[in-house]
Amino acid sequence: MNAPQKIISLFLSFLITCNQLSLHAQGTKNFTNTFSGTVKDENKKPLAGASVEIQEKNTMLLTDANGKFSLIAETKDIAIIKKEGYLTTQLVLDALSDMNIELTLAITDAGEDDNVVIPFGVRKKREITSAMSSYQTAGLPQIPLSNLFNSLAGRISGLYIQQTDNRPGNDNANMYVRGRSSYGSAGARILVDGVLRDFQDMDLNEIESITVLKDAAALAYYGLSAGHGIVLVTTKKGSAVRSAINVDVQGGIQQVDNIIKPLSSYQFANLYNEARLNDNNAITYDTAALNGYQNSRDLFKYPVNNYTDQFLKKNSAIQRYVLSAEGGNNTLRYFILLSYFDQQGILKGANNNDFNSNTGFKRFNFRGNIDFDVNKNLVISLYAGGRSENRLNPGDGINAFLSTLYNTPPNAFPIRNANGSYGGTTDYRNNPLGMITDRGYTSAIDRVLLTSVVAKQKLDFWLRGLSANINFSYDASGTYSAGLNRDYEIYDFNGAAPQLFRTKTPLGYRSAAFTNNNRRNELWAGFDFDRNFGNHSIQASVKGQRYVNASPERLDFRSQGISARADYGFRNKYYIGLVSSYSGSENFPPGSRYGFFPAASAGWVVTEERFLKAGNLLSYLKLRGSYGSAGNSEIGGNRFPFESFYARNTGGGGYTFGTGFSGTPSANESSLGNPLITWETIKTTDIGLELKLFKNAFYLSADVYKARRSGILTDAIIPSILGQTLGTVNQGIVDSKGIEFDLGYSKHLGKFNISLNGNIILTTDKIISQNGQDGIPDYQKTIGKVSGSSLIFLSDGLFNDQALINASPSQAFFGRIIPGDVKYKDVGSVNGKPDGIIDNFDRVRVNKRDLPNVYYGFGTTLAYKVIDFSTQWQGVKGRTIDIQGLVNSGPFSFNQEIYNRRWTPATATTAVYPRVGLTDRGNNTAGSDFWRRSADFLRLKYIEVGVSLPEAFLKKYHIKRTRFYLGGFNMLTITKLDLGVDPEIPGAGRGDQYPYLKTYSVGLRTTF
Amino acid sequence: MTFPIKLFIFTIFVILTSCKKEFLQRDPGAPITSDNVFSDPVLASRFADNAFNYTLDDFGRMSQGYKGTTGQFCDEAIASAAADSYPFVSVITTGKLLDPTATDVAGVYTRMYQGIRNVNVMLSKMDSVPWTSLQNPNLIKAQMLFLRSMYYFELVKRFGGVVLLDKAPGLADNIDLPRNTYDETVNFILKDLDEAEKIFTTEVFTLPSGLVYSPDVDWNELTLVPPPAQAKSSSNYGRPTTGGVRALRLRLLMLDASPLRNPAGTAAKWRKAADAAKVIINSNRYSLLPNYSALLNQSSSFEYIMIKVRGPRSFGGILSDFIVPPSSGGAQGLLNPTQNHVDLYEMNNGKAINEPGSGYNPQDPYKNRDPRFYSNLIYNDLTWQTRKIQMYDGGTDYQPAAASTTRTRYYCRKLWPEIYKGGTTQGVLMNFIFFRYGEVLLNYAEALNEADGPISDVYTYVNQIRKRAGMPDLPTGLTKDQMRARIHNERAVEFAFEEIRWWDLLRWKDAETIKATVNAMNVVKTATGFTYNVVPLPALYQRDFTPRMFIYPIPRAEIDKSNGIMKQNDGW
Repeated sequence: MNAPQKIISLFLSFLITCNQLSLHAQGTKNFTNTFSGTVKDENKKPLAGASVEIQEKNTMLLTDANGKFSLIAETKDIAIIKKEGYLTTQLVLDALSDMNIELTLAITDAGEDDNVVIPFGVRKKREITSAMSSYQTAGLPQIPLSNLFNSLAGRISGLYIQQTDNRPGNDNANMYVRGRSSYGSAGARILVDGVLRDFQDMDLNEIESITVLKDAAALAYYGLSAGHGIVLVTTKKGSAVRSAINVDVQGGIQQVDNIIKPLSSYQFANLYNEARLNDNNAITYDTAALNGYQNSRDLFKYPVNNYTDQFLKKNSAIQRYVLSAEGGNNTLRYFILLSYFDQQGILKGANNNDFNSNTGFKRFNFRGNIDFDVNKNLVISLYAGGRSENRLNPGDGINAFLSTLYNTPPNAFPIRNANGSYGGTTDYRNNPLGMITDRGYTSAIDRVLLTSVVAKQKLDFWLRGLSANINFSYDASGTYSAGLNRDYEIYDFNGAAPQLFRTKTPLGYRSAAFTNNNRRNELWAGFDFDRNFGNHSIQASVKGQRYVNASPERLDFRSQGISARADYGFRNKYYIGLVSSYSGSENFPPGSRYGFFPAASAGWVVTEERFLKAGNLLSYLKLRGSYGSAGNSEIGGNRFPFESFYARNTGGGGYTFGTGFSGTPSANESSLGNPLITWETIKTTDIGLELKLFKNAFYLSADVYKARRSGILTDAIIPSILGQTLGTVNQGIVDSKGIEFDLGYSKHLGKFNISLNGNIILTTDKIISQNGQDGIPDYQKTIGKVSGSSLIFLSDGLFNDQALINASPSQAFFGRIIPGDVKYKDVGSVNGKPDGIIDNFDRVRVNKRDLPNVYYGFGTTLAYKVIDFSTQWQGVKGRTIDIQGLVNSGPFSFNQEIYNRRWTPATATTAVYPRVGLTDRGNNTAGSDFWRRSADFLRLKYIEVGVSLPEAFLKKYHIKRTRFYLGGFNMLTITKLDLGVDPEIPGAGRGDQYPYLKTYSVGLRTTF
Repeated sequence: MTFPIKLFIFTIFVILTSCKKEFLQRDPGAPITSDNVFSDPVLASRFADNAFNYTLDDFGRMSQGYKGTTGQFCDEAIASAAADSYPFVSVITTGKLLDPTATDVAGVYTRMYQGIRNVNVMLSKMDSVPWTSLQNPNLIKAQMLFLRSMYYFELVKRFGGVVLLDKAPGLADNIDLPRNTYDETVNFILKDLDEAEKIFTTEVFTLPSGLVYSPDVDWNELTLVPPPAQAKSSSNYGRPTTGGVRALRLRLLMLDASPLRNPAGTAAKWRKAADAAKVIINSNRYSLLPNYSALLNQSSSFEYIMIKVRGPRSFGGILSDFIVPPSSGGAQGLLNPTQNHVDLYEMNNGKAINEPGSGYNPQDPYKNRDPRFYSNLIYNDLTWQTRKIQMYDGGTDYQPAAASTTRTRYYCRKLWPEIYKGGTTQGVLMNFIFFRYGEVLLNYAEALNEADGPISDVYTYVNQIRKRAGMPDLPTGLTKDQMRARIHNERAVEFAFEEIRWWDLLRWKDAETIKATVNAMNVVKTATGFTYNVVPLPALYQRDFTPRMFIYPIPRAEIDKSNGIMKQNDGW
């Protein structure tokens, strides 16, 4: 039995034992009375304005100037006394009067709102010695967005969120922690309530907080899973000190932006002719045709279409409704949420008598989180979330439909012929009207169940502060796809004889399928120790973990390990943390499956020292540092790469003998295992500082880090005489470093509240080692360059005449070269020296990539009396994109952008893009700096104005709070890109991609 | 709960968890390990057969498995879409053999060593497989040795001496090895071939069907011998036999005796080659197929020494995307025979076209030519697939604007059975021949002429080939040089498009022919007929050949990977 199994079995036996030792507490009968008392601080001074609430009852009042209060309640009710800056206190009402309640002043970063969720635990911010960013979702915008990632953009330091799509229900985004430190890009791992779960489709109101783990001291706990950073998401739990029912109603519209600008038929025909001439071919459209397109007299013969105008709406509707209830008492706490989200698509005319083929997304979320104190030593919790998501699309798929809209020439065919039939030609057999009215629709319903059972057994009778904890998750998901199907005919009447394409079929059901059937279980079990001895605080934990991810069509994925940590604090001033994991993955060979990942960190609150006592200017200063390692087992490549496998091909693959020619079965060596395969190791050093100034109004947190990722999989450079391909070996190294700042300011000036936040990270990385770089010129090597660098030609403008072509290095490598083509620089050849020929040796590796090296965000929240106003901005710098495919998009790569700025002999001096052509365009589409543009941007991600109704007015209706608000998402973008594309999602509205969307919303939140 | 109960529960739990297999130790199911294969004689024999999959076993193997032949490197043919879409030919014809896309260099190097690995793994397991009476391990071993020879022959032919491995290296083994010399490589091959021949010529094995394999009745003959002498067995046709071993040895010795490897022209080397050929001739197992034009289309034949067995081809791949142009319903007609090749065909009176009295009429160039011309080529005004081929300017079959149609105004008939056109659903056999008897005869004649001059045996065997083709005998009284020229010409015509010409030119060190201006035919339709003009092709299709190319360079990546241990060939 290995170590994790030991931990788990030991744990279970404890649990069985301990339950028997528990006691039960029972209440007695209660009476209604008036209670009164005084709230004082540590120095026995009365505290005015402290709130006194009765648990689970709608009673709340504030203490008067003398700190006194008086209220009506039942005996044994529990009063909760809170004041900002003080630790909250609870007491059972038993004495009728003269209760003396003392509130303790909270020390900086250790108050009520300073909880930071760490793996299976909570710490005060002050105690944290590693680099973590924590964010309470209470500050997030209430806006109807289907993807939660997008609400977080620009808010959390060190977390870069890049939106990649706009389709309803698929407005996906990537999440990167501290940039990139491997050859490829890999997103952060997201753990919801401690286990790997999909987070982006949850409802915003399900989420309590988000913690981003960044340095080794934070990540080492997760061992082999921690390679690309971890984001811990915590769902809301019920609380004995707060209870509320919230109703949110939101509606909004999403506005299409940055869509490709198509040409008119006349423009298209002219441009097509020009391209034909450039290709040395005869023109296609004669004067009669050109006139036909211009005067629009015979639209059947000379069709003029603008598909995007005809088939896409400018706006679509979006709505969200949330009902949540939270509360509890000292034995049972609950949080319950129901939400419904509906996002409509932008297709125009998709609704007909038989079905609606508009794309769309409907989601229903449910959550019920319940904590139950079985007895004073045992807490059992059930955290259950469920959702049903329905993604609707036209029968051919939204991307195929959009591709037809964007890429069909405007003159291809009349949408409807003179006799009412659908138009089409042999080359263009998709009629957009047919696609939305006669191809049916598809519906893909995802059903997801996320459950965790958590138990905590206190073991104080053995050792005070010790507890046994178990966390078991059962998540299941699956997709049910169904829909209706139909097909249509298209007719081409413009030939010598009418032609018919496609086959008409009547309406019928699509074959339904249940796919993506998946189950995940994760078990964490172990012991926690949490105790203060005078000035000493000790918090320690050891847990075993097991993970299974099962699907019927493959062998399940598994991992397991042990994680442990110990934190020691002295006088709230010095902190030391040790964390480590012994983590294993099935992906590595027996005997070397487990890695040990230790990390250590320390923190020092300098302002506790005599020599730097906190004052009016400097309120708080903490220094911290960490060093340690984490691993990454998801290195890519095959499963079980250490095994040498043979394949048994029963159906064929054999060499044929005999005169029967039948395929013969075969057996062959299918892969050569690499017995040395191992994980990536990331060693990180991080030094941080946390600072508060002006009586805690201003805060700053700064981190400098340096990381080396080694063992990255890279091509094996094994001589071919081995006779087998050995996939890859762990020989890559990437160094990365960066500096990040997180700062904020918040101040109450009478009735005016101001709060500002900002964060920025500057990162860079460098490939230290990568195989496959031998024998290529130095200027093409990846070594020393950033990961994800580009290998491109260097352009030198456009050829304006044949004389220049003749005088320049030969570009015959690409095919035909004529005036108007891109000219390239002669950089090298087989011997590294320019040779007068442009070929692959002239490509140069440059430090340009799409992932930015600086990303930042800032926001403001201003409130005056009942009005509040907030904004959040996100920006990136150092992002470079390839615009070739964006400019050269649309039918035959023609669109307004290219039309207005292409090279022609007449526009030779002002042209931005090369000449047009239909064939042999390799020269002008080759990857080069001609097509690279900075995609830096600063974006107003979110803006909101709210009005809260006066509490006095609401009290009559038993409403605690009501707030109306207007909001907008992705409202404004500042960028140098002038192509009508979005810098963050450049492909949107081109190719087959959904257009870029801005969201406007109006909402109402009512709290009972 | 009392202590004993707790202890009990704890103990059960410990037992339950500890009996379970280690949580992360997985049995992956479908993929299997080495032990699974070599403990099962059927799987083991299939693994042995898998080694055949690495042979260079088809025409057009430079790209996608069906495009590009070595004939396009030399005077036999060009690739119509020369540079951009067809780099695997242009990298050779422009001398860029170190380019990683040169499949005949880097691709073959890797593939041969993969085959060698398969053979070496099999040989190392021969003794541990529990063979049954259904398999004959000796015959399996002989086939493995033959294949290893074949793979090393393909390497030595291209690169000269290479690293010789008789065991499959493991990952832990040092494989940064220096190259063996050319002579060591040749001797290694000859040793394997001798051992294989010894087995093939002694082993007797009763097949499961009851038929008996013996030195007198080999795999192929079990198919060929008509009943009742032997009931027909069809399941092993295409395996190497004694004849295959000898034919491979003959090819190696021809290479070794040729100017490339025998600059002094030592007659002994030629004599050794001639002897190797004579053994095959004397075995009396082979004969020429009477019909030259059906050579590739037999399911079995006494002319075949070893072929790649392949069923009838459907219209796709090599046919529709390499041979048959759009004008006949294919996608690309990339294989365009050159005028240089066409000019090699004699008149049917046995005279070369430029010889006095040949009767060659440049304005009617396709009249009265060697019958093999009509078997091998498609040309203007040929009636083909029920219509006339129009290679003239403006004709259906000559469309210079389309990248994938002929530039020379010829297509290759040998690799284009007439049945194949647009919409074809039937198929016929079109075999790739590893060795055929015709080659043995011309090898013998060539070697004998080099060793002993134009003695009567030389005439006898060249004339056998000419007779089958329908050509008159060679004129008597040729000098050795004249005979050499006639044999060289005979080979060019006889083996057209059979992946032999390029290697012949290399071993003859015939740079002149490789570098010669590549010509096309210009055809113009007139009121009464056609005018024909031989014209040079554009520079794009001309050859850039330097003497270092007689021996290919070792792929650059392999030199780089070997940490300086592996040395490159001279000039590269």
